[in-house]
Amino acid sequence: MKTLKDSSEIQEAARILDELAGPAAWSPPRTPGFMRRSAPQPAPAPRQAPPRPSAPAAPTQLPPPPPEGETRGARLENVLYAMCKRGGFKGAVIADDDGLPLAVFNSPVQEEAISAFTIVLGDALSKAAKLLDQHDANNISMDINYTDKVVLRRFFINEIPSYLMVICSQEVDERGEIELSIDQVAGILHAR
Amino acid sequence: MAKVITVASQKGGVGKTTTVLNLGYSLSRLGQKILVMDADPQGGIAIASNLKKRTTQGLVDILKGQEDPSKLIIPTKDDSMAFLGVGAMEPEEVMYYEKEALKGNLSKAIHAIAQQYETVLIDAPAGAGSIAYALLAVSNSVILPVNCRTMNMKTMAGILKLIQRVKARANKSLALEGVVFTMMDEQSPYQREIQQEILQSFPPSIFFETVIPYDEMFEWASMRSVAVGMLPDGQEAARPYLDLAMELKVRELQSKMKGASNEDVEGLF
Repeated sequence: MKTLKDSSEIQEAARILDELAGPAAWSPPRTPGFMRRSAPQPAPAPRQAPPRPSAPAAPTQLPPPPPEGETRGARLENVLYAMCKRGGFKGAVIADDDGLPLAVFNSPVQEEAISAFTIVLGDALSKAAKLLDQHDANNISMDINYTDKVVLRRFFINEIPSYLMVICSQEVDERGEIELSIDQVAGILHAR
Repeated sequence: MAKVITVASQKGGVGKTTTVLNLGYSLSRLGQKILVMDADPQGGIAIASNLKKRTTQGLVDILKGQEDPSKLIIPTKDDSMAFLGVGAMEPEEVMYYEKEALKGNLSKAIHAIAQQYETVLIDAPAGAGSIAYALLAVSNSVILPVNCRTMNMKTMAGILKLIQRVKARANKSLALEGVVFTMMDEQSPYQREIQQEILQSFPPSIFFETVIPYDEMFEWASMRSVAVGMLPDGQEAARPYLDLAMELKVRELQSKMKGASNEDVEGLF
């Protein structure tokens, strides 16, 4: 039976694509799948970082989600929970410019301590603006042990800074999830 | 200098407008200064974003010299993106717009507007006509959304011929950014078979690894006139477009490094 790839239209498209992509473009077809990833390529021996004394990060075990609620704090905590679940984060906190914790999810230390630390990092961001002349600097990341890091993202509600801080494994690329969650957090805070 | 990317296809209904809106939103989340430009006389972006709430004027009014572009480019509430519509078009305006495209004036206008942005994403009309030609003539690259339908695949040669023609005559540096599968229904054996045949027929490097699945959340987002990532329940649906944005940036970095040697590296300052 004649298949799609045997049709003259597809063969013509393939010929043009060949020309557009250039001779180096051809490599063995990849296995199709829903989310395809690159076919294995012969790669040089990977460079390895010096071994670290602690065990590699284990998959994050999150506590149960916070109860559903209509209060602003409950809604923020639900956003934090959803973000941690999607991004594989260990915990998160939202604090305002005075260091008041607006919502906390799975903090490893006391709420007051983590939000005070948020302000310390927030001050560092403000100083970066002045000392390094980087006025758009809104992110700061710091390794807190051999496996984990804290990431602080500053955002503005009516020109007043607020902070979203995340604790996650150093192996996690947290930026996308944080950016996606900021909108929801800002939406809830705007509505107050 | 802005990177101008046109999202084009030979056939309509493949997800061009959805791709422009959601890819634009995702790139803006990654910190890019984005202009989303609607160059399709159907005005899909203006509808999908509810731009008409702010203005019904756009590219056609700029071409007529009736409006300053800066007045028609509308930033979003959070200033992370900006939108330029095509303008409300009567039939005679569509003909005028096509003529201006043929004369090269559309390309010139877009080139001037694009300079203030890092990335300009253009929603092109379906087909390989004069408007698509003008858009490709001013673009750095083109993204082709395709969905796994036989008709869509069989008409793909048309837009590819146009890209070849533009490269030969008007814009030698135009690059095929990639082909992205959209509205993919993973459960459909028919679609999976088409996808497999296409993957076996075309050079693998032209495909984005990210596949955009069919998701009803896009319909919800469309009803609200927002990018799907702006909906609290739309985060899962938004993920593939964020992946696509990241893949686009990785491809960009790789193409910048291509052909460079360690000796070529200059200092930071």
